[in-house]
Amino acid sequence: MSRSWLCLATAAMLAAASIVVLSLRFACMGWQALMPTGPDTWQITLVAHGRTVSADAQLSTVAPLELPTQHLLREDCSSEMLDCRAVDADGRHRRRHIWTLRPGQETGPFHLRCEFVVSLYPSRSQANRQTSLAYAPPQPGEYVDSELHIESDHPEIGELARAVVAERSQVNDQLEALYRMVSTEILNEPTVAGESRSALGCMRRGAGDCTAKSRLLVALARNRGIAARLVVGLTQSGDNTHSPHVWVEAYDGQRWKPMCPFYRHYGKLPRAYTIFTFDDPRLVRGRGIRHLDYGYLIEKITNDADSVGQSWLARQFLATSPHMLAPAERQLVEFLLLLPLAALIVCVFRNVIGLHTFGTFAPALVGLAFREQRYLPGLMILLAILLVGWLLRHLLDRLHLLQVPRTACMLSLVVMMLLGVVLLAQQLGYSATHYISLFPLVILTGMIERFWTQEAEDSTAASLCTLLATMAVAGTIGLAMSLTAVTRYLLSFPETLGLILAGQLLLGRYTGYRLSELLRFRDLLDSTGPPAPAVACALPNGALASSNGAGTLPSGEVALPDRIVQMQTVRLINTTTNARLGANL
Amino acid sequence: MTASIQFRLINSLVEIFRPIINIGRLLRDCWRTSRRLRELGILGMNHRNAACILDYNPRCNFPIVDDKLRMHQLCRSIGVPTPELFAVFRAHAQLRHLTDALADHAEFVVKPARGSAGRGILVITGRTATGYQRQNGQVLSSEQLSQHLSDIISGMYSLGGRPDTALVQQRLRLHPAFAPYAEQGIPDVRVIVYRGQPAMAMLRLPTRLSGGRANLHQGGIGVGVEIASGQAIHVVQHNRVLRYHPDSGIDLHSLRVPSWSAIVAMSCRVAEAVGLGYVGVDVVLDALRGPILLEVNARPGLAIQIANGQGLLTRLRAIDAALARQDCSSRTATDEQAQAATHDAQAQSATQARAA
Repeated sequence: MSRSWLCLATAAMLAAASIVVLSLRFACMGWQALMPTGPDTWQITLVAHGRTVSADAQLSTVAPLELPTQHLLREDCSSEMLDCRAVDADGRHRRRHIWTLRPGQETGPFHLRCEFVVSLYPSRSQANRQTSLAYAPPQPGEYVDSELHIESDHPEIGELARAVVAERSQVNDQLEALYRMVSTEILNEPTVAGESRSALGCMRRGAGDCTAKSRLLVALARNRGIAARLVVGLTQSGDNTHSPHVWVEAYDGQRWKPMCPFYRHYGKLPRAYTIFTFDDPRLVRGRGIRHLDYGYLIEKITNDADSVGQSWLARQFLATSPHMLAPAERQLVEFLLLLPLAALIVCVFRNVIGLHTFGTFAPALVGLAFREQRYLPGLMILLAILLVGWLLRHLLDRLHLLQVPRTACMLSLVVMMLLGVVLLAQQLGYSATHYISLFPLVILTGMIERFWTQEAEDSTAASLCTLLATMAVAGTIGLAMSLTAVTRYLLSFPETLGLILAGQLLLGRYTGYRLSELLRFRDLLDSTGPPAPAVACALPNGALASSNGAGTLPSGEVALPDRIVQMQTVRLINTTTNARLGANL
Repeated sequence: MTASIQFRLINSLVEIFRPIINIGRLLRDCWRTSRRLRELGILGMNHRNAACILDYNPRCNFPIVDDKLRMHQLCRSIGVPTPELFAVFRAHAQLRHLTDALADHAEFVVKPARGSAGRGILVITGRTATGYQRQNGQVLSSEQLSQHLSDIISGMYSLGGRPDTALVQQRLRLHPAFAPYAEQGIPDVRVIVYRGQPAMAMLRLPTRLSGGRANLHQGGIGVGVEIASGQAIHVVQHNRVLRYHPDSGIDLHSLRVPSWSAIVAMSCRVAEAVGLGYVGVDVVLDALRGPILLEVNARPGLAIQIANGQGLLTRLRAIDAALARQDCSSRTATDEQAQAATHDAQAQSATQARAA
């Protein structure tokens, strides 16, 4: 079997295998494969609007946490006026989105919208094996001190706590008694803006909203030496718009026990308690913003009937789906899954179209780095740095440096330029890291070197052409990869990698013409061969095959005289090749 | 009235679909062009890489052709003439003996052993009182020459910046037969050798435009040469067909490469010795020594097809077919021998049995 056939067979097998897995997954999970919503999946929509009054206006919104009991399936944030950046610095207790004015955008009214899809699980279920630091046992001294609005060391609170706990010695019994007191004896009130919501105020008035009642319960527990904290999130009540709900978690020695003194749940919460953050009840806050208003909406998007998890196979597919990864890991997997696709696109550009680029996969990496639209101004900066770097490379050339130290020098110079860009952006009030992804740095150095080499060996025009081709390939890849549909599809059906590999294998044995060669050899099309005698090709044993004697040309195409040229050459070659063939035999 | 509305409607429809029609036409043209190229037997880059280089050129043999010193030694051992080697400098310390080593030679060429694209080559045409005179008239002092050799040894001109060896070689002289065709520089002959057989050849003539370098890319003239006779059959410069030399106006179709059979035989012998099945062998005709092997290229370019105005693939197929035929006939020959042998054995055992 020839290599090409072997390659074709391998590719066919790979493709078949991935199609089988793909259709099996689709058969088991249906459209659920695109977003495996568990039995209990909720869509949360946040809408905020207001007026920015200064150029450094900043708004921070909180996103649902990734916890053993809840999994964030998707998040989409969009706004026309503002740029969004996820901050995961304190991922244990809070995931924030920071919104800032887009460059060139005037201050004025803004509107933003976030959508989260969250799957909730009744307990630490098999579907979500994430271990979360948020549910680790509290450190000594953690969650037991008095703080603003939670006056746990106030004598009145202490008196009440002692009275309620009385003789009970078990932590569980103490907690239950405290919960019962707060949930039944303190009246429920609606949230009214401007009302004090401290634990002490709530106790004195004998009434409070969910925040005040939860603070009171936390203060009482902490007074008795039990670690307790506020939990801030959303829950579904009767109507459709919701303000953040606050409840309590207390550590009973084994686990963090949830309790909601407002809606009266103890130990086990009903569904639709989505956790956003701990301790701080304000989910949206702004700086340099006026008339800020926001609202949440929580809707159930699955009913129990169409949830996955019926068959064993479906459960396996669900458990191994990249959708079930935590947001940070999921982003990494998204990027990894896109790499082979980008490599395939590079193969098409080079072997089918015939474009020359600087470096084989450098354009792919540049394209991937700039796949987010907000990086587009960064691409211009990248190009500018490339051209300045090339000028510097000319200066370096006078010093006749050895290759590796020279490349190191170029890297240092590129870093200096980038530093300049970052500092300049800071002066102008932009955050440069927001627009430049710094990772194609080393690629940039290599590209400058290649640019210079080609210029020296060919011409500046050829070098610029290659640069243009490189940018075109990078741009195409960036555009293709920026489509969320592509990412989501790959994340849902990772077995598509088999198809991509099959495509790469096939291109590996593609022996057809490149598109650029159609142009390169266009002059040969007009000529039906030179008006010269047949070109004979000398072969052993006196056999002479002329170029038109092999029968590859259709009849009447090139009718060259079938002249056999007897020559000294033939004899000479005959002797050498015969000797060789004889030796081989 | 209605007719004009209909006409406008059709027109606007055509306008809407025009881009699609144009793209369709473009694709059709591409398809036709590639079919025509295939009919003409033009070898494409992908086909060259997949079916010629990957299949017939084992990677382990590349270092031989990439190193001029190893090539020189190989050619010596198989009796193929190469430029005479005056001196080899492997280490900076050896440069102390530079003036002694070059004392006998007024003109020579300095080359890196693993250079590429002609970088680092220095042609010295004679001596002056102050030092060595370069081809372009510049005079180099002994220190400057030593510095250049030192740069070569440090690897400034080698691929990947690896330490290299500097060679001092004989300077080749323009063959009188080429004198009318090349004002400056020396023409060279490129022969494509496929599986030990010469497949296609061209002569590269340097021009004023190419600055004395026989490089098609930089404006050199490519002359397609008949493989059997060395007769020029087709001439191009910058992919355009020519008949007369742009510098001297001489008719290029009258050109016939001297010692052609020796050049072709030499190319085949070298290709066989380096163990590569698809190579471009570069040969230069020296005024005194005749054909001299310059270098072997394991990835010869495709421009030779443009120079010849013909496709290479047809020739490669013809060679494949002829070799298969020969393979077949030699195999039947061995089969016959084997049959004869078994026949003899049977006869022998029969006589033995009879004797018993």
